[in-house]
Amino acid sequence: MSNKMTRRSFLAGSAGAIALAGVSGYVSFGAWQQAHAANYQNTGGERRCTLCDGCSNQCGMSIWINDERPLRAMGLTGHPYSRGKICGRGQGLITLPYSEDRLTEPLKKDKSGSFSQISWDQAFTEIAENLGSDSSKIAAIQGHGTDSYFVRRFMTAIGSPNYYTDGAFNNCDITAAVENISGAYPSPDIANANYVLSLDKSYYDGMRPAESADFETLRERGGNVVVVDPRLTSFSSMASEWVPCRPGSELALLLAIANQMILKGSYDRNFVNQHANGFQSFASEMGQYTPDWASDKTGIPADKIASIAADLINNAPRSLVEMSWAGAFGCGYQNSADTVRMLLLVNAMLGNTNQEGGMIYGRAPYISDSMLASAGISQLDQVSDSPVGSDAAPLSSGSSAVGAIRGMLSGDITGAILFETNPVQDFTDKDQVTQALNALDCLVVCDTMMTDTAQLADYVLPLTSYLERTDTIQTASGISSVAAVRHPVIDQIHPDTKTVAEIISGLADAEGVGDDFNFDVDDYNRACADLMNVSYDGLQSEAVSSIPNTNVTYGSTPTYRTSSGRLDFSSNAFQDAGLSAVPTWTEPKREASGDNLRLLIGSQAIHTNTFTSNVARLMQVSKTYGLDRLWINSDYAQSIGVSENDEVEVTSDIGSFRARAHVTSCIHPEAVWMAEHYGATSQDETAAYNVGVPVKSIVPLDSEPGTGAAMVQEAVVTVRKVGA
Amino acid sequence: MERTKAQQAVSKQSEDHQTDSLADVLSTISHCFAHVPQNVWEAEIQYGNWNNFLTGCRSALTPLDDRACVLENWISTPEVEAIKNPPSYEEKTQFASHHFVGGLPESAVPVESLYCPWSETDMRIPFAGEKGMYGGDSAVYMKSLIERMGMQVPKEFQACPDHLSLEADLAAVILRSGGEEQGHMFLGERFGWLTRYRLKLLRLGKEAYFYLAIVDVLSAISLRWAPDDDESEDDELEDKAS
Repeated sequence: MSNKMTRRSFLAGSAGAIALAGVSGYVSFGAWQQAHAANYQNTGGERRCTLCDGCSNQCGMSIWINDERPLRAMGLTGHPYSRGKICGRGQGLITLPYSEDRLTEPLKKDKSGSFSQISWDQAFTEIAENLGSDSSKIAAIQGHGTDSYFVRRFMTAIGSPNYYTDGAFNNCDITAAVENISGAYPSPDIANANYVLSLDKSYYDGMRPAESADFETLRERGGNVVVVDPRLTSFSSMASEWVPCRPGSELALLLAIANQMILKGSYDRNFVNQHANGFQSFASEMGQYTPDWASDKTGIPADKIASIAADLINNAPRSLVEMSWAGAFGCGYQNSADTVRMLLLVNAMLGNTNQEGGMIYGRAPYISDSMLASAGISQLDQVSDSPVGSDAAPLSSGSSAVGAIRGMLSGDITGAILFETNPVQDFTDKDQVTQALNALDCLVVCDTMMTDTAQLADYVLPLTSYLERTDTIQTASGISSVAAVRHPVIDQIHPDTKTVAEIISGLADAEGVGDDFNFDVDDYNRACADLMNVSYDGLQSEAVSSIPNTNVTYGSTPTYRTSSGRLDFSSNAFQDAGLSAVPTWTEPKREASGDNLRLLIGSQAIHTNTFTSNVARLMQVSKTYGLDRLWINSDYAQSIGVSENDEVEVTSDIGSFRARAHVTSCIHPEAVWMAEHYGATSQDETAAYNVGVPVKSIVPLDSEPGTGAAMVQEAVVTVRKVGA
Repeated sequence: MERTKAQQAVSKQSEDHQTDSLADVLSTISHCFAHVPQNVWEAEIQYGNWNNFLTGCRSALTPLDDRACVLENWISTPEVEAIKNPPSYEEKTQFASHHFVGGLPESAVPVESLYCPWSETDMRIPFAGEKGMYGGDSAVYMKSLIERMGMQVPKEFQACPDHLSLEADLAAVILRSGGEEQGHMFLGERFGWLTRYRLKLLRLGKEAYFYLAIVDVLSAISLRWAPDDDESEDDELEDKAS
């Protein structure tokens, strides 16, 4: 006889009579569909506000939701980067929270190499044990920067100095130069400019939607946009003129422009007298950088260089050299930090600082730890040690992730927690990076998908997606500044996912420093909002709010947070780092000539490194238009017998890959170019898997002296047709 | 010849027994694909109880007056072997932690939305036709239905009200509450996606045969009450998707 079974149901109320009558006519799926289709016709969905997470711009976004599903997304007009529009990347990303590939539970790798589900308690306890007790050997690396205050605080709380970002692979040189010679970040007032010089958008072939509108305004007013770039990018559709230049020579152009300005006395002497430090030694250095000299370096005719300089001068102060984001500037070459320095200094010499149509230094407030302490969030004692690898990056506060990778290889780092970063795909030299991560005693990866990096982890922790969570407050700066906060616009889909801040809180408890986290994200945000005199309740509903008293008045002077209190044309910080105090010409580390071509790497407007690669709709665009192909100059392609869509093999010092060719006249003959978003080998990223190749895998892992930037454009390759 | 009242009563009793038996079968099926406490599962797979389940499956697969059904008529021999030898609690937990969890190399999450176009109801959604996403029409429908019946979607199914376990469970609840007609309608409509889901299970090899057998049994039961036209629900979806 069998035991009597108690028919356990998952549904509440099943033991009693359910309200069957209440669903008359609706049990049928067809009837439900009809009723809801009619209902959907009459409703536009509920508008909710948050921030996009497609890239570091974090544009303000409104999204219309019906039945917890997004109908459409638009930019918030009050956010300076979106101003009412959302780019294609942001439109595609809204499907990410619903993806089948999402990680839904904490996972642990067993001895066979397979992952299986564990509880959060088990995860936190074991991770704390396995990271070890020597905090000097524990590292954290962040990609997206979500809740970075919490991650930094955790590292401080456990006594580890080893906090890194992935900035070495995007904007490290910009950050280093800006912070060391001015201490304040400018943004261009494009709409009011008459002449814009844009240098190398290849690494960031996308823009803020607001900038796109501003460029249109500039052109409609009859202004000029001159793009100096080894490649004619999609941004170049905004340009009046494309001036091809030799890759890595952008610094030479800027040095020659400064030469012309000084030679002709056509610079803002008033500004220099009042706000420059070390201008005389700077001017002395510029004497040698004539247009003829620069022509030899850039391949741009000398008279063209002189005419660009003249146009900048003649349109000043409504002329500017645009600050790009990465590539030539952020992490590209051995000379990138000086390229950024020169960009900032040339702009200042044009007299466009805080002028209409010039470079605007926003006034978003900086919230320090001591200010937070006064608001009830305790200040922790800072860790006195420097991060592992910091010797190589004194201008970046030692936080270059290249240093972290080298530390893993040397055994100076034995445990690491990675947040929203995919080093196997997004860093250079995939083999070395893989070796470094495999050398760790404990690797923890926190992400939404099982990326190539997550595949190597000992523990994988599933993150809540951006549409489901609240993040720490941020600011966006321009002529006026705003505070912005991401808030949930849909119910949390997978209940066992956690935010970065929640994971930090759990790890902190397990590490015995939970008392240092007696506040949550809302507490932190409210404290910051109060310090900025912004209503947090208002932010919670509208996501974006103006910060009082931050409007920049045209003609005002920014506050330079340097030791000199001025804009450093000659920098002690650079000199202390073993570099020249004033910008000087430095050749790229590797020379491209003849059949040795420079491998340029960049991004596309619909993707952000590999963060968006597993979004099916965005990857479909890539597939449809063959966006994963290698750009080869048409003359060079002809010389080696390569035609459109031929398979080619690309070989560097450290490796090779095969790809299909896109033959075009829109790239410098000394270079080839490929986008960085492809080549995923994790089968769990079903949209990204097996699309294209990981171009950075054959770029040597290297770091720029002083800043630690990864020099991602410093690979020289040969190309041959497969089967030839 | 008109049946006597007694004959009608016996017939009704028999039908009620069939309905209760079907509800029991669906409850057991629902327990196969989601976590239940160890004591519940171990009681479920005890010889007598599991035998009753298999008898119930056979009964559910045959018309009322045909007692000659054998499982081999509906599922393959390896599956018959597997369904007769249900996994232990440990084996079930192990399988679930590797395969019923999202984002893993061999994930085979039994959620209807993942195998159907996301929406055929609200075509304003720009990606309505895409498959492989949680929260599709079936999820919205299930949540709506469950709440209209005065119940709540349990927390563990928050992401997926259209989880196989919850769909089977709801069918059982409806049947036990006297909604025979509604329960049969629900059964017939709801499980066409299993023909696509079983392909995921097939890729997992032998260790998935038990679950494949359960899915095939449920699919076959569902076919008994599928809409009475030439196209299956599966074909309808395919046509609409194209």
